[in-house]
Amino acid sequence: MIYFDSTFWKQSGIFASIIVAVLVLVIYTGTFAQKKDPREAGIDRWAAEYSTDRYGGATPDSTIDLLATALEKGDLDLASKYFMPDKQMVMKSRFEEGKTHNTIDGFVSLLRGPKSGSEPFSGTYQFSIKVADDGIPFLIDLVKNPATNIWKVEEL
Amino acid sequence: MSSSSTKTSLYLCTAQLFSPRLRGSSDFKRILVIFFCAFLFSASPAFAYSDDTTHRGLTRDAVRLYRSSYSDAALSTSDEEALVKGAFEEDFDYRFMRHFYDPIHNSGLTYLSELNFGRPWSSSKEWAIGGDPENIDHTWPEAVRLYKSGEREKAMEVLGHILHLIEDATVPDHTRGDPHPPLLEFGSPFERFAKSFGPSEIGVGKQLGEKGVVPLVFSSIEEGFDSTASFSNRHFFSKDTIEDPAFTSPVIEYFSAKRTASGDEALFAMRSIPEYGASAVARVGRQYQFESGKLVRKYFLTVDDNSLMEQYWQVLSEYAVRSSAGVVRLFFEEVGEAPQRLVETQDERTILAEIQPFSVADTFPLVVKEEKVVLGEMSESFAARVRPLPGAPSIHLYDTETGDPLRQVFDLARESGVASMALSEGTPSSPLDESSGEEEVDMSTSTEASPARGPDDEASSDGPNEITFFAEGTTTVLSRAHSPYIVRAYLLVPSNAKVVLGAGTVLKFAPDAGLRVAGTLVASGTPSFPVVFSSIFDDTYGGDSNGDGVCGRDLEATCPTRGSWRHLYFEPGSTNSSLESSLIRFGGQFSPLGISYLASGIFVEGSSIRVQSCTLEGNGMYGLYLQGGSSEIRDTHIVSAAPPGDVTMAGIYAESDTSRVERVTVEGYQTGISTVFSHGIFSHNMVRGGVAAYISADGVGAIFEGNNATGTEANGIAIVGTALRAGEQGVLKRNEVPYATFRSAAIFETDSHLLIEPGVVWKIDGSRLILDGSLSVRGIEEAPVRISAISDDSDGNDFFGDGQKFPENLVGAQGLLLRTAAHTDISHARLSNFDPAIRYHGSPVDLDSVLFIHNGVAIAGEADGILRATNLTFVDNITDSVIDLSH
Repeated sequence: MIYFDSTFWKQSGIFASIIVAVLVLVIYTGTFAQKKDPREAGIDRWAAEYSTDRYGGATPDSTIDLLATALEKGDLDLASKYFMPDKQMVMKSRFEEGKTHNTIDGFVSLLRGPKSGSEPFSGTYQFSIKVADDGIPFLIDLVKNPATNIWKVEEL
Repeated sequence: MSSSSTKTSLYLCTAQLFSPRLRGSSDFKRILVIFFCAFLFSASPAFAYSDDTTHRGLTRDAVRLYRSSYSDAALSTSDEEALVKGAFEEDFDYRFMRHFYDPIHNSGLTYLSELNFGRPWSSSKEWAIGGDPENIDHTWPEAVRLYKSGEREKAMEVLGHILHLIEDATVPDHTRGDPHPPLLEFGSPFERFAKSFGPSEIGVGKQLGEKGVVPLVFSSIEEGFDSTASFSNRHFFSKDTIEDPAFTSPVIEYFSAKRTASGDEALFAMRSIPEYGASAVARVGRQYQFESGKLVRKYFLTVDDNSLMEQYWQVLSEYAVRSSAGVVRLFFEEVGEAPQRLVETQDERTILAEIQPFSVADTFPLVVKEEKVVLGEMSESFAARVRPLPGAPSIHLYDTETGDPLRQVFDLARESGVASMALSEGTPSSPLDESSGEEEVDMSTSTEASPARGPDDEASSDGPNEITFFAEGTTTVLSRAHSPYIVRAYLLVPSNAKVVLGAGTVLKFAPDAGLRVAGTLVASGTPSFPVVFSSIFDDTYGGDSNGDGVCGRDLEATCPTRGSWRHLYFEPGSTNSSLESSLIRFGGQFSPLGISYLASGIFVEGSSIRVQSCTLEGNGMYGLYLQGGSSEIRDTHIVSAAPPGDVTMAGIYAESDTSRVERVTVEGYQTGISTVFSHGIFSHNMVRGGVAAYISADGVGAIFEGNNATGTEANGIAIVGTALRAGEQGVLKRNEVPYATFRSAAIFETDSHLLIEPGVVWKIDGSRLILDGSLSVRGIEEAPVRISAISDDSDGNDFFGDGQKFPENLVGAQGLLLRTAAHTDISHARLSNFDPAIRYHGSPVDLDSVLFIHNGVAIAGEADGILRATNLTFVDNITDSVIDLSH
């Protein structure tokens, strides 16, 4: 026969109260979130686009490889996703222009060609591709998304 | 997730927790918010200047500068902590969406306006002055009210919020409407860089104090925002607004090659910022152009290394500290406790006014402490804004040498706050209000005619006049009497300014110096008294300006060479500029990276100038470089003066322009006149000498008429490469020398149309004329069109100038290739010395009154072609035609 002393009942009561409180919190939190200023909710959604973005590689090289592969397959939508979210529409438009003028191959050749890279700051990376003798290279800047640890193309 | 982002999230949550909405709520509700934040924090923004570090650091530095500037500054440690707290908290609660102020368009952030119910977000200026009903507690009026009601700590905290906004106004992204976006580690490279500074004192304020730099002075908080935001907007780029047509500034002045941290040589776009000197504002790189498949030059704010952002930070952090300290001073002025005494052991006189050289608030003020001011350092070109402080009496300015009064400054402070005026020698006159429009600075005090000084003449008795800047909104007159003028920088003629050079004026430039004309430059020389633009080493005009003796006479004297100074650059937007009877000598300084177009005596980009009766001599790679625009160049002599073996490019280079170039003589350049898809008119020009001094026409949208060449290795007008692009039209008019296609084919693309007028001679070396468009050859009986192999010199023109005579019946070169899409109509023409002269593929060909002479095969056509021939004459061809011409 198991006996429950008063301490047991006291501790159980506290535990049950915590469970109930947590449940209430979860329900109440959802309700509260829905009552937020809609502008703040919008900004949160906007921010979430960045913090959940997983299109990219674990290294700068792999991101460039993914980008080149997507372009070789003609998947312009996917190719544009390897860029920062605010640049994706612009890049898709540029890629479509390249498709119209049959210049995608030339761009892919650049990406696949020899290039030197450096990480001037932690979380930023730059590829420099020599294309002429005038000291003006083709540059590709990448930034690491600290939320997902993938590298995004920032500018090229 | 980075620790900084985590911190940011926690700060956000803290803000939520203590936000007005939750004040007075139960503890339970607060606990709920904490839980809510735990779900939220992964999406936290990172803001502008880091609130955690940079804003706190800059605010402390502003306090330091304020205290070190005024001995009676009453700002306690608790005041400082309250200011820092306010500056830190201004980013809470999504307030950062209102931290943008574009002073050009008077707007806040327009990005994500859909989140603000379709309305643009308030600008930081509106946000600060109480113009947004959502910000009641943290405004300028509220800070003043709190202070006056005795709540000093709260007032300082609110003022800290305002300082945060002022500091943000030194971030180009915030003043150019660039949202960047401020999330995670992304966004503005500048803010990313600046994040490493703070939260303790950065040291900028201390350095400024030690240099004796005082806070900026604002007459209102609105002016504080306008002035600060204008500075960062006008002098710097943000990442995504470099090519935004909504902003006309900053303008690139020149390029400079530097090594990055990785050891690579990189090219940076530079501009001069008044009082701060030259600063790199962008990196030059290439971008892949998907339309053409080419790599084009473009400016970037890149992550390459710190070198670019360091220069941004050096200038903008100082400006942020000076502006913030100025706002603190303004605050105490509004509450009636303005500090009056500068910290100086020797001189504690009250500041009466400040004199700031143009433009606007770009420069450090000269502090005026007495009613009579002697401006010993003032140059003749000095123009300034004079800002009497409240309570100051009238200020009088006097010339150091003569003691004569300069223009008098009246006490306008109480009425308009600012008096804007020009200072110059001469009779005192009334100051001009800023709203009165263009003012004139006349630096010419003599109309006496005298020839420009030669090497044996002495410079003017008071020494050469140095020009350091041209003021905005002014017309500056330079004269022979005050010549020579010395320029030691790459000076800008602002877009609303005009510089007039009278006959005989001499401007001499130091190395790296030049003129960049955004406004108007008018040089009105005469044949007897030309206006001279030359090197400071050129002793031929204006005497020995650098004091090292006379070139050619004194051994130690430096002599000018090609490219001893930069150039006259007429940038896009420049209007009504003209050079008449002027000499442009030894300009076209060579670019360290060999960017050849910068090495031109005159560089016109996207604008138009008029050049009449000028001489360009000894300028770098090009004499005159025309990129776009509709310039008029007449009766001008361009000579390279390059020693044998030196590389030159072209006397005149014209690309994508509609210029008129008439009666110009070019000597000694590799190419006399080079045109690239120009639609200009080039008539009656003469090209002499040089290695291969011919006219090069890459694209024949341009019209050439009556031009001549002599003493060269290729006396003609070269038509090679893509002569006409699809849809273009061209006309070949008669010249004294032939058109020539050699070493490379001339291609006429589909739907192009070329008309050849009577008397034209066109020589082809076998590279062929390849036609996919339409060709109309319209000779007349008296002046047939001659199309021949280059060996044919029976027209009397020795194209290569080698005196070699070819046998009259030499054949072998291929002539016209008329492809399927072509349409050819030839009348009154002579085709000679080809094999074949005409080959056509399935395209219609109309021949009327055509003489085929000394050809191998005259006509080689495909069976599916359509040949309509009348009145053909065949003389001494091996085969007249491979097709039956009998029907």
